Amino acid sequence: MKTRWILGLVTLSWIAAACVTIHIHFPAAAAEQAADRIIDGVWGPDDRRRGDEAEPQARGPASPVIRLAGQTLSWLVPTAHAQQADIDISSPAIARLEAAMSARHQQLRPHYESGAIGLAANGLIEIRDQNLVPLAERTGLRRLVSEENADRNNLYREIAVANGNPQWEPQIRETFARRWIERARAGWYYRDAGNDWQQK
Amino acid sequence: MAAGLLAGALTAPPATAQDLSLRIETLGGEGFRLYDIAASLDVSGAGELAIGQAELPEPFGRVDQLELRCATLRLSSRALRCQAGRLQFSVPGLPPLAAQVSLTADSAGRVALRLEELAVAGGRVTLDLQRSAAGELAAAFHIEGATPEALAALWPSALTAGLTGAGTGSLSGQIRITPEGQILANGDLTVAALTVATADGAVATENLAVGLRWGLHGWRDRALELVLEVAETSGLAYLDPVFLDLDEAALAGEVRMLLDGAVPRLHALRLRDGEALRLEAVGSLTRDGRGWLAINRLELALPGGYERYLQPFLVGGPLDQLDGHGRLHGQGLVRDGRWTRLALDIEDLSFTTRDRQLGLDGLAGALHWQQDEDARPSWLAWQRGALFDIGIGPARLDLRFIGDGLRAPGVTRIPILDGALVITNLDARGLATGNPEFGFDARLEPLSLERLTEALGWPALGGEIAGQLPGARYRNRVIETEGTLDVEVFDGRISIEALRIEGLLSPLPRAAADVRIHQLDLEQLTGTFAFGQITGRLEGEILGLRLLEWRPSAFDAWLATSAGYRGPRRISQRAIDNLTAIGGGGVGGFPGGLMRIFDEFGYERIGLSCNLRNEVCLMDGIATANGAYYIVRGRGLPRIDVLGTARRVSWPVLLAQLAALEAPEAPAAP
Repeated sequence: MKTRWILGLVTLSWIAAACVTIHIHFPAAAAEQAADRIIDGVWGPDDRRRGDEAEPQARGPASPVIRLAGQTLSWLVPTAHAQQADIDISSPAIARLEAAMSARHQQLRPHYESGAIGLAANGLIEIRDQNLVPLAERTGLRRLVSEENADRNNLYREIAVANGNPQWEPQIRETFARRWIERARAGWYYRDAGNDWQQK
Repeated sequence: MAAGLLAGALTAPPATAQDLSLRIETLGGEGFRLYDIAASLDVSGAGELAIGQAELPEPFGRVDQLELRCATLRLSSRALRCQAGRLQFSVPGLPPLAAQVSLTADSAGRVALRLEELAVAGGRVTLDLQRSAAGELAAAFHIEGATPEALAALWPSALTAGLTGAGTGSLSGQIRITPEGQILANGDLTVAALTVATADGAVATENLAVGLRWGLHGWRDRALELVLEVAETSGLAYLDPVFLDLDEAALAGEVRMLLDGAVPRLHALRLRDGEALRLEAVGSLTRDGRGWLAINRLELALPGGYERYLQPFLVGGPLDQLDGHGRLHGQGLVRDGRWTRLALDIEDLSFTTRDRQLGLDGLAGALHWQQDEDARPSWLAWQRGALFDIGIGPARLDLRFIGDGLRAPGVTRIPILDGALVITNLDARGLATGNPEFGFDARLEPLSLERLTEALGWPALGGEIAGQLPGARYRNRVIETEGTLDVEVFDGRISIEALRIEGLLSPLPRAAADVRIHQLDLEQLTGTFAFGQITGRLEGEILGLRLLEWRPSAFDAWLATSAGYRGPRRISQRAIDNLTAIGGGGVGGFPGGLMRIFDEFGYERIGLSCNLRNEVCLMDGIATANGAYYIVRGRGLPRIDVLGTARRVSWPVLLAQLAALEAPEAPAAP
């Protein structure tokens, strides 16, 4: 009985999906969760935040049918809690980029803390005050910043591509740009909407 | 004072027997003028002289509120003599100054002045000044312990503007000024323990010590040339983005500046860092970068010159962290802060990039570029090289720079192993933007797979690869191609289309392509990979193939035996075992135990598909059966079917299984 109900639902979902022109809207909430997961991976958990906020749920790739059924359900039953499309961040390229950024963060962290570098509004990082960096370390820091930004640009593109929507790249970048800044530790610098440096 | 002019009123106030005082409103002579002069003498010989304002010849200029108190002051119509004096005065823009002084001046115009303990620029000044009766000035001075800010003010340059920090300096020298106005001066400037920085950090030093010889010569009111010669350097310096450890790089050089009119101009520059760098330039350049500078000689030697002066401009790009040796010679013209002409000669240069992705030996060339004009022809050539361990042979590229682009309409043939990559119609735009775009047509002349697989350390394959890639483009660090590369292998063909390579020389190279497999001889293929013997033909597609660091990260693939094949279709026991392992399923159609007595079986069709995403392969076969899928559908007797049940297979595990099939179980069929 129950099996037949599910089968019926799936069939109904397929029919519903076939009848509707599917516009896949950018799943903003899921993108934010994905960004937070990667930020946690790169920066490590924030000691201040531990406990007062549940860790975002890890999401494996869900079956497309179940996902579609869920979407259709929410369309059929608007009052139900809408489940947005997932943002999948489990591709090897994304894992590879996250690992590289996490390893690099050990070298970048003292420079965030000193204020030598800060978070830009475009999802990248910038050298803010090179007077805070010993002369002999400046070329090395510029290399780290350049490599970090190359990885960040690749990350935003890879997430869009891995989710089958390369055109999402600007929104993914915007989501990350906002979350990097919102999640920045006290004392770090970031660029505000007017492109001026502010300290957390 | 012989040439003196006494003007205004000379008043003698009521004098006592002990004191004498006088006041003069204006006193002038050749090149000087004094106002509001008051002098007094007491009977002991001590005296005071006050001058409200003095206009003195260069280099002294205007002095205000000058007060001179002398232990012994003699003032006669013929001479002024002051000994053990104390001088106070102020100069516009500086706090009041004070010094110990002794002075003699006579009516013949002779002056001898000695100033000591004059506190200026945070240091102490000693000055000896002589003026002859003929009007020649000679001075010797020494400033000890001056602050960096004060020294920066003495050396007007865009580089030193806005410097703050700590350090000490000393400046000494001699100046001679003839009555005709000729100026000859020279001396030493040394700074020590200098740790300074501009607000933006673009110029900074740490514990810098510099010894400079300076010279100044020319004519007053006309051109003066200032020569600064660097004699000794130590410590650390940073000129964005160049960092110099001057304890390692022995920097020497000379700067010549022209001081005529209000704006000093750089007019010659020589710089040498051992064998690493030589720079010689002449020009007429103001501190805000206006004017021109012709670089007549620039020599840069790898590795030292590259590491110190070139690499800082290439950080993060594919040419960062090169290993190499050789020389570059350059010439150029900068006008109003923009390059207008550049020439670069490359002489027997060798380099390899970080991670040894690209290496070139015997690189030579002559590159000519000119703004707004067609430049002379350029060329670039190399003797040999390697790209990802694949050897490349000698090649020469003839090109011409046009505006911010280049064009190479000719044919450039780059030998690769026993084949060649032939590039025609190369053009480029946006070379100055840091994000250049290239377009070219490429053709791959047949190159043997045996050599290629050997170079890449893959299992040896027979056959060859060739193809046409017209309309290839490089932009935003991505190479995109149209056309097809054909791999002739196993008596069939594999075609590679829509090849796209991203970040070729970056730490994370990625590639994408669509691959189609046509009529491969399975007997040869299975023989090579020790998979067990299968006869027949193989066809298939690997669409949406994405490679991450040259390893597959995603694709939709199917491979199947060709239905149109007319020859015998046999599959060996070992191949059955391997296919069964991949599908994680079982064998049907024949009792398992009895199967082992046969070496090979007939088949109807063999096929497998895999959609790879996120390290998981979604598997399917040629047909479904009760939730499982057929990988092998048997034919004849003994009949055998291989069924797969695993739909989701770990890609790394699958790869490990395939890699375990290393050595061929038997020599490949001839």
